Amino acid sequence: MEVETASKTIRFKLNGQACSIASNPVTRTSDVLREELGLTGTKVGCDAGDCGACTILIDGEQRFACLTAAGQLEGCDVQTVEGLAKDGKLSPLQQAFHRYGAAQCGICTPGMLMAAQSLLNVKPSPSREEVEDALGGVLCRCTGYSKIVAAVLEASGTETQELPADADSGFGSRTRKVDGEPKLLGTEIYGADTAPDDSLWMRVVRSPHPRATFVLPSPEKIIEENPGLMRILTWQDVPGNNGFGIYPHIKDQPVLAKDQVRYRGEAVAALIGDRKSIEAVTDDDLGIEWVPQDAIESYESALEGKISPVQEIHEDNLLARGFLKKGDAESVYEQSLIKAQGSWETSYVEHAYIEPEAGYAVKRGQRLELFVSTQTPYMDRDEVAQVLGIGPDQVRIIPSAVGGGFGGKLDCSVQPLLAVAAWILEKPIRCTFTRPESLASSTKRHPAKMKASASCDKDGSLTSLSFEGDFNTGAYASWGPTVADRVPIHCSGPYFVPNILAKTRALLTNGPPSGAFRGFGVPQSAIAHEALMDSLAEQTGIDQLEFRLKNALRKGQKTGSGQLLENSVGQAECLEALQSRWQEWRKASEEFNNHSEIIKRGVGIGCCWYGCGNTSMSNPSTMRVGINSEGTITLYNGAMDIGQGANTIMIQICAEALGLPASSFQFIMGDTDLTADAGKTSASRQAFVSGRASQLAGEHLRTQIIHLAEAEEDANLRLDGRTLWVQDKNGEHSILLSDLLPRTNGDVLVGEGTFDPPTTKLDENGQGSPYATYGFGAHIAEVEVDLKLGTTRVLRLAAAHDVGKTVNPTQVEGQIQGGVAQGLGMALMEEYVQGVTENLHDYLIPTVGDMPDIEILLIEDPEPLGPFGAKGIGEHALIPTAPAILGGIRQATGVSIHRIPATPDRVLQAIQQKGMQA
Amino acid sequence: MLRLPPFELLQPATLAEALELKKQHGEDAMYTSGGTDLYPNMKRRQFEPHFLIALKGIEELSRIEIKNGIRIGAGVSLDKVANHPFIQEHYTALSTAAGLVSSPQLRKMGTLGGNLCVDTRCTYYNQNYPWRKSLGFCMKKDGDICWVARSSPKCLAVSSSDCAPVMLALEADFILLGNEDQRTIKAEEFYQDDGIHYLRKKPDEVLISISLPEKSGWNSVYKKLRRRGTIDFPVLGAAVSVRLDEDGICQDARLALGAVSSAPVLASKASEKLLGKKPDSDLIQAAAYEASKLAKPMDNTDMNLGYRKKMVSVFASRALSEAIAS
Repeated sequence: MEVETASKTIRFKLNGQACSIASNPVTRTSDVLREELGLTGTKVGCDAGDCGACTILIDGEQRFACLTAAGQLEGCDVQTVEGLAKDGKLSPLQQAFHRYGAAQCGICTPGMLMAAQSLLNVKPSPSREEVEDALGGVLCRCTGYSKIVAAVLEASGTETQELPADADSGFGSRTRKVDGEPKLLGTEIYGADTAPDDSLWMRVVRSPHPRATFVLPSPEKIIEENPGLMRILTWQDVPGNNGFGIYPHIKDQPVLAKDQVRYRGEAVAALIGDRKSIEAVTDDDLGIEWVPQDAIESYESALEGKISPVQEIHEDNLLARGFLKKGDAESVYEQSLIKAQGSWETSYVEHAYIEPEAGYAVKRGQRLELFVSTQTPYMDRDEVAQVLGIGPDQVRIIPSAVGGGFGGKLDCSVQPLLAVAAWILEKPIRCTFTRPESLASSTKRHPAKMKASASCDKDGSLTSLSFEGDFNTGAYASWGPTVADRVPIHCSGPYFVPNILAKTRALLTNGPPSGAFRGFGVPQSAIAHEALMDSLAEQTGIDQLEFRLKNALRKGQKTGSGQLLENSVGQAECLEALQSRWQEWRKASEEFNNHSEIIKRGVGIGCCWYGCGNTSMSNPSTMRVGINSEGTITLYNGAMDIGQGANTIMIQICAEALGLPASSFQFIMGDTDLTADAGKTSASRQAFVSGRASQLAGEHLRTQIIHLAEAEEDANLRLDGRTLWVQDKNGEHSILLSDLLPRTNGDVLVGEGTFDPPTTKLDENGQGSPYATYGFGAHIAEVEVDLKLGTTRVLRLAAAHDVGKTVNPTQVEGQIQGGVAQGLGMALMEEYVQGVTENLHDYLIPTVGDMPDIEILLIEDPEPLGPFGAKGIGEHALIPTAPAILGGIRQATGVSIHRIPATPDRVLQAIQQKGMQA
Repeated sequence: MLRLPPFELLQPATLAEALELKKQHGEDAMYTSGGTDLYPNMKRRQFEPHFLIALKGIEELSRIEIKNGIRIGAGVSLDKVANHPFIQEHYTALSTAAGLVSSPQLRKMGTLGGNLCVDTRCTYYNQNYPWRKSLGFCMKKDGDICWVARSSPKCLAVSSSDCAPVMLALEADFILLGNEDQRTIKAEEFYQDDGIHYLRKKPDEVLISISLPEKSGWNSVYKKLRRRGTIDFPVLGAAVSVRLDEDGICQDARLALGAVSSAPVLASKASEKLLGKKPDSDLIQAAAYEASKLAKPMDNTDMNLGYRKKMVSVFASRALSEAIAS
């Protein structure tokens, strides 16, 4: 049936101005705002009312723009994030967000601001509970909500947190995000927010089967029938290699599948055309003939060999193995009197960044330009080049602002498809994944099946630890080998263990590819080693924290891989910092339990260590800083800011090294034509590796200035317009910048720094120095379990982390709070099930009300290789959370949970099984 | 693909116009109010109406009338129901349930009538079109099999309304207006245990209002089980209303369960156990156990069915205890 879709004039007030649009009244308000009015501050995260990113105010009340028909706006007063600031000045609410660092990646920020504003409109001084209620429909994946709630409370004047009034901008200060304002104003441009006007749209057709062969009929007829449909791309259209993947020698995932698919969500074709047409042509219209096949969806079927292998070249479905051997763990364990063992299984965990994958590509001459949400522009450049069969210098990646990554935007998503389409059609092409598409097609955290055992002597000194882990790496390699390598090194925890045996396997299955997700397998293995620590402590009668303190790795000791730790080993200090709280919390929970039968509390502890940087690999970063003749300092930052704050801290570090204030800096982020290769934003490496490179770049520029001015090394620099003043004990020298000849990008002076953290290869027993430095940490969590319902609530959590040196306390706290939120989700609720999980209504991530109070204790044991002593925190922050929560459940209930997440049904089952045994 | 299929939005000003439009377009048209459940379902192609008749904006649907109880228009927003002082005082379970539906934005948009008519849910049904097609369509939409229980002659999708069990517990009457007449139906008769035909509402009929009897002297409680504190549909709902005399003797009691089958269930046998007695914890346990016999959860929503079954007596007992204690 033909449905009339006539435009109608709709009149409403928009951000205080009269607005009249001619639009189909059924169009979503989010589309009207973004596509027709160009107000891209309103974000679309799920398009189904599950995430709240599109929250706007209609007549002062918060509503989902994605579920509101434009026709319903008639006569309404509509307010979007763009309407909050007045005369370019941030509103009090926006200012509070800025001060608290409440916007990290910023993709949920407009929705958060509008939800908060709707509350403040009717309740100028709300309580904390009212704030949490009002924000209950907006999901944030970065912040753990702490700073958002604090900012709303401050804006309302009900509560204030101690923060320096007006932060300075030096190293160690709470400098506000240099890219914070646009995120708060709604002017920041993310992957889906822009594209050339004449862009065509792309929609990817994906496999609905976990495994199948297929035939795609010739598309001529459909194209003929749909004038707006320009092209249907298939594997034959890929000009270069129809394969991509993280490793240079493993390009196993097809850009477009040829005749078979290996997981639900695999790309088989791409429709290119005007938006209406690519949306109107359905997958059914293509007439794809699918022949579903038996799929390998369990570890057992991957290993049994009954079903033909996922990939022909891996007959046993074994993608990679990892191994580490130190001493003789097996015989020490056998002879030991005090031992513990167990097995654990974890689930697929989705990154659930609120910004789905998006971008556009355009061919310019013989070059391809790709604007995309990414964590790794240089890898994207090389990947796209090999897919197109052109040189890397023919590709330019311009990163958009990134609305969350967490490892998930290290792999290619839209990149190869957009590149191919733009290259062969010679038109700009844009694409934004839908949420179900993002969930189905993107990489996940590896599900793991682990067995581990450990022993100690009667004094509580660890004597051995053995670990065996199978990691479900899905249909394609992605980062599978990395996980297999990294886990054996870390699986003994931040403890000195004389005898270790670790074996890991990455198994191919017909599931979504498992990739990088904050921790590369280490968060999974930490669940095992921390449960073992608790058990051994209990058997020896030593307090669980003291047991860990006794065994904590210290300077002068060697790790499991035989690496001598010489500097920056703050594990013991982290534990010591938590001691008083630990005792106090345990006492409080015991007292509570004395007069509570059904609700029981417990306090658990988890520890982590994590090597900063890639495992046993060169992973250099180069940073550049320049001053132009106008006196503008630019940091050419190749270290992608994905919300964690790289743009800000790199400037803080560089400014400190240079000796000029951070406020005089501007920056360019990640553009492969303008910045140098700083490597990936992954492996907790940017603050450490690119931070050091920024320091070196700043020092290099400073040296040139000192040299030009013929001044002393310790001279003070001052920038005054085009004049650079250099003052030393002999007086003040001036450099007139406009007198100098411009070099690159109009800069007259350029500093460059490169740092590659020193590592060594691992031998056949996994022995060597895989990382230049490690970060350490410990969390304690108090939880409350309802013994009848099996529900767990985390009441409070304290996190101590050795960060070397704090570059910016606000950002570090934000990283930790966000890590805790993801760790909590992994422990209690997050589980992606292929073929079941559809959108954010059935992939559950923590909401504001699920988060506990988080107290943060920063330990500073400087790392000499790091920038002014700093090292990474990105992944460390998440690792100890799940073990601490699971330990808390154990303490509260007396039962151990071996299948993660610890959902209420699993917890209750464990409680009742124990009851039956007793 | 998560785009709306093409359709036309019809915006009648009165109920009479709405009914006329429905008469005109028949099966091609659906009623909508807040649209918070229907639009995502349309994006998944669970519904493909050519016309949507918007009930929002029809003034008579958004009235609240306090007289011999209360009469609440079906178009009143859930947020308003949750925060209405009279409802909070006299029909606590209803304000609680309305306040626990999904998220703040959705409660501003979604209506009481919408929540009472909300589509039943199932793991195999709440999927997008290509997914459902790849498995083989189920009987609720486009197919003829029930994937939850292949031998089942009827659809087992789950009633997922928070307010529906409350209506049973509060002895609500639903007022329906159709082309031919206006009729009143008891809440428990409005629903039926069939995931497809879960409402005894004729296609042309509009739920226009809900009438609750005067309930002074009653206490009511609603308890909801879900994984998170917000957004999620109920995994289980338990609604209780009780009336005790001065000596604590139970004069009247009604207990209803949500999300245990395709319809909300009134646990009459369970509440009868309390009548004429002073409920102590043993009696409450016995009543709750009786109630749990009615729940026949299937493996088609969040968390496993054994767990959901077990939770019924825990929730019923907690809801009863709270209502009796307050």
